[in-house]
Amino acid sequence: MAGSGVAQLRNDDDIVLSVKNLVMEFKVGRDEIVHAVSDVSFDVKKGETLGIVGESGCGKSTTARSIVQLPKPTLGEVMVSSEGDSIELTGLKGDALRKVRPKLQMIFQDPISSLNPRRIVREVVKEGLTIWPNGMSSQQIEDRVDEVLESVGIDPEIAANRRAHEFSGGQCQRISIARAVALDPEILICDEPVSALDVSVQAQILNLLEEMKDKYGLTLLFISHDLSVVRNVSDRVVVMYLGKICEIGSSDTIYSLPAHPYTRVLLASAPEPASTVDASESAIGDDIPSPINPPTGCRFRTRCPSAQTLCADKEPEMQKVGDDHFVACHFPVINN
Amino acid sequence: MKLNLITTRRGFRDLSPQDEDSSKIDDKKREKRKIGFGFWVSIVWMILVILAALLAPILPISDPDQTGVGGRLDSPNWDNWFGTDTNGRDMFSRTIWGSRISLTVGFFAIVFGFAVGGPIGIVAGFFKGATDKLLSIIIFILFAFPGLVLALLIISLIGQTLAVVCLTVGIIGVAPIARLARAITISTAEREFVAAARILGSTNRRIMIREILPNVTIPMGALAFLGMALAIVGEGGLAFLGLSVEEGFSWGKMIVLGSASRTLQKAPWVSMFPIGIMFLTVMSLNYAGDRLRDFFDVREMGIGGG
Repeated sequence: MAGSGVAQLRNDDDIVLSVKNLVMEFKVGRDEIVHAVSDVSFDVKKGETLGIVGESGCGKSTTARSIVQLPKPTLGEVMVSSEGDSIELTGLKGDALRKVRPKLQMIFQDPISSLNPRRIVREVVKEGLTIWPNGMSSQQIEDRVDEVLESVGIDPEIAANRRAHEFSGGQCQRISIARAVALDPEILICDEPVSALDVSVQAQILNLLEEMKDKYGLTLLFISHDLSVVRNVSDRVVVMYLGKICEIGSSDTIYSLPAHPYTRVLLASAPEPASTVDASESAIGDDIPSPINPPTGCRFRTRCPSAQTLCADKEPEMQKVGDDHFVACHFPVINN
Repeated sequence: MKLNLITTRRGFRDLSPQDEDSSKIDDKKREKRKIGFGFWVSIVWMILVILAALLAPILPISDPDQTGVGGRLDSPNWDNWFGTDTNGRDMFSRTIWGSRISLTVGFFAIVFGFAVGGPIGIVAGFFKGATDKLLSIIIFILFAFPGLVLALLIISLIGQTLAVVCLTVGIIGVAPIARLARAITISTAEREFVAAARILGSTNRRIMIREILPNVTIPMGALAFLGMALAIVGEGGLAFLGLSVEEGFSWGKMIVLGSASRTLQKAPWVSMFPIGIMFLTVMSLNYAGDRLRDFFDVREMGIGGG
């Protein structure tokens, strides 16, 4: 169940992004606080794709936003490593933060809102390089823009004199990807990048992301509520519930041997023909509790089929239940 | 590899990105975006008025200050199209010359209002927080201060020159302009392309100029037309109070001259022609501004709907 702890963090050299004890709280009204993200920790290795799944409102987008410091998290650490340097983002301000930004790029859910309707698409893609020319001549910048546009499948000629509204949603998402990779980032955060697209276009964009990952050596953080999409793109998966991590592990493990009751419920409720979990487990009572007053102990206990008194008293810590498989639950389902 | 599973299963692998062509949707949108015949009529009228004002010195019209061009209070005739006033001056010529001050006030008041109100609104809407509170207080004070009293104060203290009249009308425009700029900025700043610019590493200044400003300009441009119309009427109002420019004459001052009760009874054309021309100009500005706003609203909707 939704819990804390850092047992899931690995201690390898090739960790590119490490999020530790991330807390994001928003004040609403006079003295109410929304606990959007509470004590979340995970890490991503170079070249890996980490998927984050969960219901809407579970804090997955807020996690993404606080990684890029928009807005800054209330507490916690976000370490980005590249070429041997590790930089902690939450302590950075102003220009120091701006200088690190190119390493972490992001793609948003709404492809049309992601692009300025008043600017020429080519200019949009060029924007990052205009800010950070990094010693490139203007000709080199133009060449680089051509290259990234071509690699996402947009004709640079067409992009040179059109605005975003003249492209379809899928094409806009391609342009957003081009803008993000133009800066040669270390990590690409994809916040529901295909949720607003038609199914046919979704597949194209997912394939494109995979191509881009190989071509530009990207590390992906892939956020989606769509279980099958996450399964298809991710090497590792984080399951979130009400601002906490429930379960983290390799994609195959999570989908074939879900140990957390919430993961099991989530998988069972997905309209997937071949489910590994009995459909009767998908019966989940009540709505998701309010993040203003989250349940004590385990946050999932109010809807959990196997909740007991311990769950209300004590918050479960992350514990290892298998090879690269961690669960925050007092009563994980291990033997299947 | 894993990915090909879903793509081939769904059979869409052959679709190239160009297949999701949007040109058809685009044509439909264009059709909806017609701005209408009335808009162009308004524009033509405005161009005519502006050209006449600019070219007044070289147009073959009589000197507007020359008395005795016709009789006193002649009705419109072939020599004096708009008739003559109490001093026998040609009303047609005076209407054209009078437009110069009215249009100047209309134009520069709005330029001033936008130059001051626009940045205030954008900065307030962009930074929010304390900056916004402070600037909003200034806007509220400007709103709360009666415009007429402000105008009286400034003009009687500094003087009745053209620059002061422009400035006065402009100051009255600052508050509503700033408020609108702030509202548009707030809604624009929430959109994801602003977050994207920040993630790229844009400075605040760059975001305001490159991302926000272009999105604020167009809806504000439509307001500029409406504002100009209001400024022209405002100058007319000041003239009625004897607060318009001392030197020269504007439509407002001509209307005042023609509205003396005896003149109005005997020779209504002395006031009616400047009123009529001013009415048509103000209406054109209003209509064009309105059409522009609608036009761009449709565009926005088109963008939103993808």
